[in-house]
Amino acid sequence: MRGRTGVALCARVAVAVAIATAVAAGQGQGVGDRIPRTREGKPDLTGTWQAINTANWDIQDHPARRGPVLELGAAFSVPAGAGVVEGNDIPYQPWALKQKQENAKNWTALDPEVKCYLPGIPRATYQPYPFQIVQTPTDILMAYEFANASRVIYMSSRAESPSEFWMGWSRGRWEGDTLVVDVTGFTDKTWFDRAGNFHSNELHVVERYTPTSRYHLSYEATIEDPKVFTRPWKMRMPLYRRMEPRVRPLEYICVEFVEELMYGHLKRK
Amino acid sequence: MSQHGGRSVMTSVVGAVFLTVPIMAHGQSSTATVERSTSRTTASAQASATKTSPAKRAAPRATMKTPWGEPDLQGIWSYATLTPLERPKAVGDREFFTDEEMQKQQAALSVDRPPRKGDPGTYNRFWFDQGRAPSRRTSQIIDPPDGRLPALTPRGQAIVARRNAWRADGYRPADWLELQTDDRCIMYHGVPPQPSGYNNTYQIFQAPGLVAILDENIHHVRLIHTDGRPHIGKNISQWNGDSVGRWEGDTLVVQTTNYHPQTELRFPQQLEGFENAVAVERFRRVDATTIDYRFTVDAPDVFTRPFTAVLPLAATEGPLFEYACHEGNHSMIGILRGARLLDQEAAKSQK
Repeated sequence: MRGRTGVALCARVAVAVAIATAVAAGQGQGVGDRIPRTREGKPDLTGTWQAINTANWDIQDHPARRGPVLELGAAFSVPAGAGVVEGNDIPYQPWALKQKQENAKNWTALDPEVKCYLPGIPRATYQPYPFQIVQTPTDILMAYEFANASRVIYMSSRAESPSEFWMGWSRGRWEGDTLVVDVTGFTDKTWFDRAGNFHSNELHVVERYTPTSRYHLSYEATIEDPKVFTRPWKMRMPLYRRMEPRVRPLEYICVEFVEELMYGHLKRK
Repeated sequence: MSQHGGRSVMTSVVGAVFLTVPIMAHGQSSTATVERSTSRTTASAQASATKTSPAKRAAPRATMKTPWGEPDLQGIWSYATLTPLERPKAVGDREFFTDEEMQKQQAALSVDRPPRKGDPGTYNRFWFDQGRAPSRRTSQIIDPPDGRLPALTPRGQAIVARRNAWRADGYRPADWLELQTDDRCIMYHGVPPQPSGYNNTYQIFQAPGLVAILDENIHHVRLIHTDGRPHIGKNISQWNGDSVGRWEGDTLVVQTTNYHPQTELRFPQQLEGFENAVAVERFRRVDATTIDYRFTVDAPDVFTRPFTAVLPLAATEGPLFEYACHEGNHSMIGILRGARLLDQEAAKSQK
């Protein structure tokens, strides 16, 4: 009896080891980490994603500092953060650097996020809210929780932007496993962060979404704007798949939270 | 202008006093919206829109199944219609219009009438999206069988009476909370939708287990999961509710609950009182250019019984444009400033 059990146990262990070895050899990271793919063989980006960083506070390196509302103290002050800008410096033209500094000084009065305006690209990507990608071969929907913002990425159209849009005009293509999105047609009314980093309506963003595992995307945005910067520059960050079983972006129609701020002076006294 | 209910009253009163008030509360919609309306209205503009737009790509595909075997609802769809929600009383109990009535209806579409005296007017017919696929139905409502909304509950009556009284009082909002959700750029067409003068357009996207509907109107996205997940917790209310779906044969059945206490649905005017409502929508692709869309709304706080309506979705060309509403809501400032001026005048005349 005893001998037979021992043999059976050995056999099971051997099978388990064999499977583990095969998985490790085949996938490098294990079955669970394999990049999901569509029927056409492209990476399947459909899912709920979110950045985990402080870029929405300031895309550049920044120390911790007190927040703008005295009563909120430590609860709503600004955390320190390593920036997401390659090399940390943003190549502003001299006038634009002054404008950025003015913007920073008057942050709460001027930041379009405070007024619940559509956040633009790339800021929508790294605001502290989830966003949903719904991928199809021809059009990709990106739906952001903040301000109920959304955009469609046209995979089969090269048409130029017919107008200016808060969320821009997005045309996509695949380069290997990378989704490359060319975004133009912006307004001059959105910002990059709460630190006053800004652009003009000649902003041109090239985004690159590259899956590095089932759970991660590498996100890179090249920023070009001849009116504001002296040369193109890049920001880069990982995006994380939200893993809660029933996760979905919820409604954050923030208009109702800014009406007192924007229209309070016109109420009946 | 049935779609705009009390708004013509507002524009005539406020507009006369405060000349910079936009013509309509929906004047806030962006230039892109205007371009869109144009492209739907004239053949030449359509041709140029086709040239520059990804329309052809996004048009509904002839194949009726997705590669993973679910019915394919994808594409760009219009829910504009000439069919009134409720059957006009003059039609009696007839379910369909006669040929002659249909012709009259079509002819009326091209006639512009000048605004009433003192009314600054609104867009002319050229700008309005009136629906592409004329239905002969005399009402969207097919149940109750008389084609009319069910009787209001006492609370429903109170909601309507309060709104009517406030309008009769000269439409002078004390603040934004007295305005409608569309004036505030929070929500308009709703779930289930009722069309208005423009932006009656959906784009539907599908992935396995998920149907997403982008409503051009105030850029609202519905993420409808068909993976069997339950609704969000009962303490989470949303302006457009929470939708979950399932496939019944070829039909996508979507149940929506969790409405916000101030959600306004357009049955027929913008009413609130839907926080306990349950809507069930059914989408069935019948051919390359049509989705049979119907919905049942059970709103026990407002109506004494559920009702069911039919609102076919017709394939249309794209793309959808960004409806940046709140971002350009100069109307809100104009309306409130106008109301304060009226307050001042009223105070003066009392002295």
